[in-house]
Amino acid sequence: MGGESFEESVNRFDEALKKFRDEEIKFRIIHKSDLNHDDHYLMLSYELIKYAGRIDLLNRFRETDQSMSEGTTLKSKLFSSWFFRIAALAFLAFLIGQIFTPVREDGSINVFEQFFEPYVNVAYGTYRSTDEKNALQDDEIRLLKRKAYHAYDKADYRQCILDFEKIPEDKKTLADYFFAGNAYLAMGDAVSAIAIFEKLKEVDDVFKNQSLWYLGLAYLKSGEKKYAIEVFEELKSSKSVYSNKSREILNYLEKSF
Amino acid sequence: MDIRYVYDSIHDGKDEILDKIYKKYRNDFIHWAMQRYNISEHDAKDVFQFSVIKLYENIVNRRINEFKASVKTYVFAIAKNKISEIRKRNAKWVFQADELIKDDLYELLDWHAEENYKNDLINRLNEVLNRLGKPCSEILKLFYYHNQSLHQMAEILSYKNVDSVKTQKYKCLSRLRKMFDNEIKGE
Repeated sequence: MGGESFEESVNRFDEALKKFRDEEIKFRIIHKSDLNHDDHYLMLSYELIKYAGRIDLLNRFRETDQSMSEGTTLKSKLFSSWFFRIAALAFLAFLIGQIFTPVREDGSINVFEQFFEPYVNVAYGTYRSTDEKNALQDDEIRLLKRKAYHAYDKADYRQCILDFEKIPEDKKTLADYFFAGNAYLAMGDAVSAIAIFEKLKEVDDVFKNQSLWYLGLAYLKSGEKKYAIEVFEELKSSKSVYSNKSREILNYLEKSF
Repeated sequence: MDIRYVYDSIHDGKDEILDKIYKKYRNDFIHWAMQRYNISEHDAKDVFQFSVIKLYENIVNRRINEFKASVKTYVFAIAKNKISEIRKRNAKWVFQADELIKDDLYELLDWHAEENYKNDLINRLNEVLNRLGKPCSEILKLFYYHNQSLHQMAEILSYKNVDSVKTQKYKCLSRLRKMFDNEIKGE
């Protein structure tokens, strides 16, 4: 690299960037023992340019925020006018009429509520220590798991999650994740539940069909019907009790939208 | 809205899709994060802004391999990881978007122990970059942040050919280098 011109350094840097975009490039360049002044400068410039690009995006979102809040102000002005008060009353009357109409359409949330029931705890928080040095820590983990599953059995899902989150990642079993996913879903936190079930369906053979079932329900809860249908379609062809349940929910979804 | 659609739109140069995502999920996210993590509305908004920026960067840098999830799930997952990371790292939690976007720069300037010094240096060098003006700032951002190829840049900026863009980019970097050197020597 000795005697390299600045132009050559730039070309080498750009090539490295193409190959090891971002994280890796830092490692490759910073940890080189023969790091030269040009590399320092190019790395700093790269990070500053990235920062400037981020500021541009941030400013764009801030403008959007402003236009959204102006939209809200405009909406509140409109609602204060008599015309919209009358329109709102008419809409309310329409809604009441809908409630008393015998046949009405259900959204994905209603389908979710009809089909969702947290999985019955069959795992219980058992945890066996294998390492004498970590006996104290193991006791704490066993206690946390017991508390988490106890809260789950009592349908205190918030407490269950609080305890679950305190357990170190490497001490959680797949079953722990599965029940935590159920607890999130029971609390209405579909996003966290989706993250868990998406992972479980890839790695867990024991709970695979169960995870798929709850993943489909979580997608329904978050209003993402398209993904829910994909999951139930996959489950329909499985040889499990969830095959019939999926058929049933798919029929229901077809009728209710 | 699925990731594949957003990915294709951004690679086709239709980055206005980001504003749509921002508008569509912003309020849902704020509501969710406030309840789930007990953080203020302001902090939730800042984390969301950072997460959409991260989504964009992952797309332009082709760091997305899994296209099955929806954009909502993806952005919320980025935010969730960021909140956990901040809580693990800091006794005093900092959620401000202006600070979050400095993460990589902080890491790079790690040899400067003083946080105030780092902040001051970042602000000053960013000022230098602003003084560089157009078309240089635009060229450098397109190449180094938006990951556009020289060919795409020639089209966007109406240059005759790829070589002209490459030469111009090199001149811009050289100018920036002189300006940085002057700024740092003047300390």
